Amino acid sequence: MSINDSFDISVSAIDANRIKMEIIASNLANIDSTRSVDGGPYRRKIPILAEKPLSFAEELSKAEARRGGGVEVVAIVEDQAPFQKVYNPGHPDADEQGFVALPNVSMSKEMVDLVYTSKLYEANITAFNVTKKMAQDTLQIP
Amino acid sequence: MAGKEVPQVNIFDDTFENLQRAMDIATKKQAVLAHNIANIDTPGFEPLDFDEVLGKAVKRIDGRPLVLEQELAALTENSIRYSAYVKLLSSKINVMRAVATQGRR
Repeated sequence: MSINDSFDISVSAIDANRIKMEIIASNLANIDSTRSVDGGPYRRKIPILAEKPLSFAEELSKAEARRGGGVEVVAIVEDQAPFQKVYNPGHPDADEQGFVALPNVSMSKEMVDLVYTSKLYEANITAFNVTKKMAQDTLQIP
Repeated sequence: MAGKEVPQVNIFDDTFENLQRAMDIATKKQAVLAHNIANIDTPGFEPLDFDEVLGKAVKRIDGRPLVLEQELAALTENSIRYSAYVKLLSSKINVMRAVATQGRR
């Protein structure tokens, strides 16, 4: 366990939060998309985060030592919540009753998630910088 | 002429070893705190504490929730502690350098 592991852990979280922000951007961009690649309206995407195990067993083997801890996005799944139905009979994607299914994306929820995620991104950059200060201090030993 | 012992001056005392161990522990603790901050939003994550006696990460037993501000404060405190160890080590080296070089004056 060296100081580089702390850097790797913070970078893994910065990376995961960047992916989360990309997903939020995709959700917001498709807030009105009635046609997705899979057919039907766009479904809101959700990132699934998982902890990477923290290991102090660097003596065991190199492969074992690489389980350095941190976090990763293990999957991106679709929100199974129902679509919003809006009455708009003139729309080409309207059903027989004149309702159009719009994506199950809520703008306010995405915006709150975006602010929260960008704060977490910053928090991990702060952690990275604190570790960087430690590494620089080490080099000050005469 | 037997009997009179030459006094042993041990300038290589335990200070170096102790400071190195303290710095090693601070480095490991930094990784544990960074790990907690990284997993602040991970569902089902159980925060870890660093046991300074065992020198490894342990699950928190008090059930305290993971608070970002507390973890960042602990991270900064750990870094300042580390700076203090570096300063102590540096002054120890300076003392030894003085002993080694100023002795002939």
